[in-house]
Order: sequence, then structure tokens, then C-alpha cells
Amino acid sequence: MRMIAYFRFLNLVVLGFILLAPVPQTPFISTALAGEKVKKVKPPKVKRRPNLSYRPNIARLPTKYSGTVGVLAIRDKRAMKFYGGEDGYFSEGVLQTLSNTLYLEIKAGRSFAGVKKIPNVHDQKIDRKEIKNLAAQQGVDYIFIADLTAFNMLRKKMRKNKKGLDFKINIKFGLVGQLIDANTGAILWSEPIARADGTLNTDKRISAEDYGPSSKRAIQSGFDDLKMSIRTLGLEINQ
Amino acid sequence: MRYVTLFLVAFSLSVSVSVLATAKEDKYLAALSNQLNFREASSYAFHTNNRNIEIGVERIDKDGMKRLLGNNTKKYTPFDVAVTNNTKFRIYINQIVVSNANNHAYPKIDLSDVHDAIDPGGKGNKDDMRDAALRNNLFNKAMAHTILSPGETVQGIVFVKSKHLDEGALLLLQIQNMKRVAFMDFNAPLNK
Repeated sequence: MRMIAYFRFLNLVVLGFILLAPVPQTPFISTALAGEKVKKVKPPKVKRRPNLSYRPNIARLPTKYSGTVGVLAIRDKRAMKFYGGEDGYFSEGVLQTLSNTLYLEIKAGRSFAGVKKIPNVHDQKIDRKEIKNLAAQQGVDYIFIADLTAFNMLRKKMRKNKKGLDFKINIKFGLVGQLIDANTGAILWSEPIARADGTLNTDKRISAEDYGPSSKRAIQSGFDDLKMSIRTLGLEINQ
Repeated sequence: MRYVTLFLVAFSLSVSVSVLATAKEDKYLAALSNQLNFREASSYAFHTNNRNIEIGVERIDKDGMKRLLGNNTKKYTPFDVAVTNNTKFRIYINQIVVSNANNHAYPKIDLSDVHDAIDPGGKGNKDDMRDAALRNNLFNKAMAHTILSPGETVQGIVFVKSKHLDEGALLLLQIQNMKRVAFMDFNAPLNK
């Protein structure tokens, strides 16, 4: 009789434990299966990489500055490259495409009577004298300098479901722009621009459509902010 | 009566196990909500002032690394850096460079390298939330190139390779005046 009572007690303990222990939080059940293949986030194959360039919208507004602006190539001041220490997620070079887009967007913004692209100037420190010489050499009145502070893909866990884990793929875009009057060295406009765009990913891999359209949207929105900001906040020099 | 008592024993056992399990929080997720203590640059262990711009630098110890980033940063030493703008103009952090004693700049450290050194586990697995949490955390807490308004203080973490500290590494912060193009350089010794 004692043995039966003992077994009943044991059964009860085990049953109580199974019924009452909150299963998802138990330390005995691993959230990842041991044999699960590791899926690293890496750039897609070359033929599947999305492009970054797009056609900007032309503003139908009067010009604000009567002179010509020289747009320098974007300087990279990001804390990290697009993802995992590399930028090769696109069919075009990131810095080159963004520099070209900056020039096209400033042109499309129609705030200046003329816009000229000045290539191959990447100095981190361009002093007043160098700006004046560069402007005289290129025949421009203003110099536009832009520093890329963010163009990154970041993931954020949303929730766990039957299909797997859902992640939000966030694209962050940021730059700091400066519009400099070449003659006086006065900074007529300078603002940080920051934009983010994202999509929800559920298919256990990151493909071009997860970050390509978001990247373009984040960049385009950022440049729209920049154009609007120059038009509304940019100072003018009294002649 | 005996069975009721036994049932209660089983119940209390399961409750205690579940409490233990739920109490354990992921350290990388917990670190996301821990921020640098807000201070002006003048209250840092090393601080320097020039024309009302103040720079403060302080090494982050192992407890600090775990609190802010979730784990030891191993071969990279993190520094808490602050810039306070007490001028009447806006300023811009134009350059953040770590150089040796002869002012020769070391290559820029990509935060992905710091992320890999910390190694949150999962080997970059897409399903691994720790990887995503740590990457977000590093991105948000790193010292950024930004514009400071008059009276404003900005803080961030600068990572330096630990082996460079033995070679007398210096932190160079180049500040630009945003009214008229002019620069000012600040040097902070890091191996103190």
C-alpha cells in the first residue's frame, strides 16, 4: 500500500510540474534547434542586388540664390558600413551613387541658378582659403559639402510566430550638409538630415526587396527634407 | 489531505522554477535601455576647454561595458566622450580620429568589427535577436558627427583598439564653427 501511495505522489508531482510550469520560459527547452543551419545575413548575388539611383522630382519654384553652387562628393563619416562591415548590397557603389544623387537633387530643388558637380575632393578639412581657391577655379559662388553620417541596415525583432521570427528591417539614412559662401566663408545653411524607412521580414532570409525599396525611400525623403530646409532656412548675403 | 499537501508541494516547486526562468533577462536586450549617465564634459575625469568648447573623456570599465553593451568588448576599449558647446554659435564635430603619439592616425574602426569582437552568439544568424540588439545598441551609442547648438552637450562611445593604448594613443576631436568656416583641434590622451 505504501508503495502505491508513493507512486501516486510521484505521479502527482510530475503531473503538477508539467501542467503548471510555463513552457516557453522553461530553461530546459532551447529556442533554437541544435542542428539548425545558421543563416548569415550577407549580400545577395550580384544579379539580384537592387540599385540605389532614382530620378528626382523637379521643383516648380523660383530660384533662391542667383549664383552657382559647386557640389562636392559626399564624405563618408558613418560609424559602420551598410551591414556587417560592407557596402556591397547594391548594384551601384554607395558613396558614388549618393554623391551623384546629391548633385541631381540639389539641381532638381531649383534653389540655385546653376549647379555644378565638383568631383575628387574628399578632404576632411577644407579651410576658408581652400574653399575660395576651389570656387574660383571651378567658377562657382557657393560650395556645398555633405557628410554621410548614416546609411545602415539595422534589424529589430518584432515577435515570434509559427513561421519563424519576424524582424523589421530598418534603413537609416543621415547626413550633415553645409552651404558655404565661397567669398566670405560664411555658412549660409547647415543642418543634420535623418530619415528611416523599414519593412517587415518573415521569410527567414534577407533579400533585395527587404532593403532595396526602403533604402531608396529613406534617401529620397532625406533629400526632400534637405531641399526644403535649404529653401526655408538658408541665409542670403546682402550684395 | 495528504494528497492536497503533496499537490501544494508540486505547485510551489513549479512556481519557483518558472520564477527563476522568467527572472533571467537577456543581457544584450537589457543593455539596450541602459544609457550613458548624462553629464557635461567638465565633469569627466579628463576634460579640456578651449574658447568655451569643452571636451571630456573617460574610460569605460568592465562593469560599464556590461551595463551599456551587454558584454566585455574584449580587444576594443570603449571611451565615454562628451562635447559641451558653451559658445554662442553652433558647432560641428567634424573629425573623430584616434592617432598614435606622433599624430599618425590609426585606421577607422567599423562598429561591425566591435560587434564581432563582442560576439553575442549565433554567428550572425538571421534568427538571432541578440545579434540585432547588439548592432542597434552599438549604432545608437557610438559617438556621432553631429551639430551642437549653443549650450548643448553630446555624448557617445569611441572604441579604440586596446593594443593602440599601449602605444600612447590620442583622441583627436576636430570641431568646426558653423557660422564661418574655422576649425579647432582637441587632443585627449587615452592611456591614462
